[in-house]
Amino acid sequence: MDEVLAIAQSTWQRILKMFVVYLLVGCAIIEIGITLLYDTLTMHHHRMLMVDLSLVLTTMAGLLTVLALAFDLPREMREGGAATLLSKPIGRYQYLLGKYFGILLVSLVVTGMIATGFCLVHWLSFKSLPPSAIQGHILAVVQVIPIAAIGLFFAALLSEAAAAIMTAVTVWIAHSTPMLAKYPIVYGGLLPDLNLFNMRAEATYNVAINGPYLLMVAAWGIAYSVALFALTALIFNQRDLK
Amino acid sequence: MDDHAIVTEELSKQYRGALWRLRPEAALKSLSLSVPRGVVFGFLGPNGAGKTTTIRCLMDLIRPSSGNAWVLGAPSGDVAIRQRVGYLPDNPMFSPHLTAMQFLKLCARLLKVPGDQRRSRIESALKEVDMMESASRPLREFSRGMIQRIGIAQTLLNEPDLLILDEPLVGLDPHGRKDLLEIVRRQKQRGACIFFCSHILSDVEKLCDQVGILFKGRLLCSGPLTELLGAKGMNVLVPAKEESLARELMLDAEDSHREADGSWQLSFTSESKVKRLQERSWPEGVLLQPRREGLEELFFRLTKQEKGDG
Amino acid sequence: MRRSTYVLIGVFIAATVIAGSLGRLALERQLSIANTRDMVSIRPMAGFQKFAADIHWMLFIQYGGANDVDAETAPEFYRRIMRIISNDPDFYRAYYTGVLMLGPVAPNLALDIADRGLNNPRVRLHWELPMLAGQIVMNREKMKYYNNQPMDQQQLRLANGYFEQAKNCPGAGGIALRSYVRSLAALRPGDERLELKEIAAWYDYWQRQRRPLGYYGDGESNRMDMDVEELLLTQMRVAKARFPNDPEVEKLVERIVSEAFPARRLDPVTLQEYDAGDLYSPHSGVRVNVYGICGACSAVLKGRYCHRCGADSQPPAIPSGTIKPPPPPKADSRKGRP
Repeated sequence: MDEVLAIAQSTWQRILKMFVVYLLVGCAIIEIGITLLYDTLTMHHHRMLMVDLSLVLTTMAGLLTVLALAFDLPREMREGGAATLLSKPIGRYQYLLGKYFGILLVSLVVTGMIATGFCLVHWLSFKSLPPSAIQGHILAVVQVIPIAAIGLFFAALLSEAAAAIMTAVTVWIAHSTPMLAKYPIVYGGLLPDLNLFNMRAEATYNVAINGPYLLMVAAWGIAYSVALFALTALIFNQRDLK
Repeated sequence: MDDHAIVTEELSKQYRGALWRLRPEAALKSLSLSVPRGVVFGFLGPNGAGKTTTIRCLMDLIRPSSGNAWVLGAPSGDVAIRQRVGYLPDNPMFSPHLTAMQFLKLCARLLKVPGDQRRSRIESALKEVDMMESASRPLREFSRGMIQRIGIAQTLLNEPDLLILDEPLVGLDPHGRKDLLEIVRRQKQRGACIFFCSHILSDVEKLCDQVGILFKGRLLCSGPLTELLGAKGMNVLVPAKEESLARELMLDAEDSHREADGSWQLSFTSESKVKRLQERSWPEGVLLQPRREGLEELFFRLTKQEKGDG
Repeated sequence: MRRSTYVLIGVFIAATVIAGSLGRLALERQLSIANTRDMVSIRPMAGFQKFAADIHWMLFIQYGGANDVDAETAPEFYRRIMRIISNDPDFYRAYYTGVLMLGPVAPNLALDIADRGLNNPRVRLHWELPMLAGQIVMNREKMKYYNNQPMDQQQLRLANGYFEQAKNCPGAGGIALRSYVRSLAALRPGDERLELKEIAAWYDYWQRQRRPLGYYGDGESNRMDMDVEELLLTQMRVAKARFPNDPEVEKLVERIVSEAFPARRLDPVTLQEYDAGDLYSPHSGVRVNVYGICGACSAVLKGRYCHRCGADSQPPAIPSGTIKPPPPPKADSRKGRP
């Protein structure tokens, strides 16, 4: 496990040292706060806009962080860094697991910071924090578990640009195909159903998203990530490395 | 097999190209090679011969299409055995955001170097490659040669029984080359086997106990350098005053060149020609010497021959 | 194949099956929470439909600020509203604003928006939307009535349905009930004036809503009955004020008062309540019915026992002719009470 943590640590060190990450988080929180100025333009819907925008930004930040790391892994393989690490006594799945935990941790930190910033801004602005908004943000943060697995899947198999494009397209499709929902093993089993994490309207309209649902969706995210990780490791094991 | 550091048996590799189709030319063709423990083995071959492919197969970075490979008596896919192996990749490029110290710490952690020994091992490796002063600088600021030195340092962290170095001399300045040769000698004295490939044949000849020459995926020869570089033909030294004789001999000679004092050195390798030369009577001042083949010569002869066959 | 390959294949299959099952359960639970999810546009927007709705809402407000709502711009207003509600079917404010803005110039478009809202289980909880829809239909028919044209019964039934939905919503205002009863009045057969039909409709409605005494248990009151009673009275007061001395109105009101409120002290002219013990209405000055006259002290009784001397006046003496005003009370009159 120490090897996995060592790989994960080198991954998160890379991202957390990037100034642009904090700039991204700062901009997101400022943008959330700016919705207060939209009182008139939204006909007093600015609180709802704040919740919705925050959820959108949290999701986008999670995706962007995963994409940044999806760029990183193929580059490391192309430039030979991965080969150096894999020449040490660690299995390929351990290397991938380390990368996954690194990506996941960074994404959780980034999305968590934005969600915390939202809570702070909302509390200061409205002196209240509806539970549904917090629950919606929990879903948006937990969503990075399967997104990181998707990013890792493509990053382990494709080149940088292709991996980033395929990750973004898959996340897009996974949010946009509720018509596939009637085929649960395919959609939710083989294909990701990220729409499960999309309760933005409910969070905005203060519709309670109950605890069991949050747990169930988190459990789905973990189970799906395990399945996709196993598939990634299977294919990656057969792959020739530079 | 246990007395060998590396053994390959009918090792072949055919890469796949676009649309998962096999490329027509195999990178390795039934490579059978054995490298005893404790020797310095030079793996030679022109560009694209399959040297790096062989090394990657040994490190389990690529999967052979057929055949087997063993490293230190264990199958090449055995993860645990890599704890006793140091590997320097071709054209190394490490995580640029890490400092040299952080990178070596990561490597030491992955190599399962005990926590209390990590720092001393890293410092000693950095001293070996003369990079102690740059330990806290990020790798992205390093030149090609400095990266190469750090790459060499990371191979030494676990005091390996086998060092696999892919083009270790590339990018190194003359000091670096000298240092590396010293490191190789020290590792050999420690009892480690060093398997490396290089294009700098003079260095290989100086360092290696054994060599293998690979050409287009096929092993042309392999064995102790003393056996491979045996007596081959005759050299005739003709003084400057015997220019007409020199010109006559030049017509049959495989190689000829003029020394600074105007004398001629002519090389004959064919047995029939050597026999004729030995039977002939020579004017005073002409010297006949048995000719010893150099590694470079051997390399060019074999590869040229192979090209001709092809 | 290596052992790890078999392990990975096993993990993949097991985790896929688990994920598939969990996904199905989670989806069912999600649809029970997000019960309007099937109304959201299925355009591939990566789940950002709600955000798109917010953006379109702001654009709609800007457009509304820059353009008057008229027959020419109404389709564009409608298109913009549809864009919002297709991305966020729970955006109540968009329905409401759309219906409010389009109602006067494009009633059919406004009704279409309202109908979409009323099909949404979350939006239809708001009483204003069916109220507005009902008013759009009702106003159209009222215009016909005032232009001496026959009203369309089908449209009236439609309006009645909207009003009924509005009055049944939680927190519905009194206007919803009034509008509902008015629509019932319009639906009543006969050639009577609409004002008379409205009073009759109120009376019918009151009768239907009334519960027998004790229906709600001892000590409980029925706020609804009381509200409807007051609304019926108000309706009759308005009719009497608008049509003074109209024999048809007088006759109907008199009948309803005598049937519905025999025990209430109502001034026959204004239908305002007077206090017990009043001999003349403080609202119109007319002589009003009294409980009786105390046989002991001649005070106008407020109930069975005289409020002045405490004498039991059972049965009460019903005064006839001129009643003399009672003598002023003595300071120590209470001392003689039994």
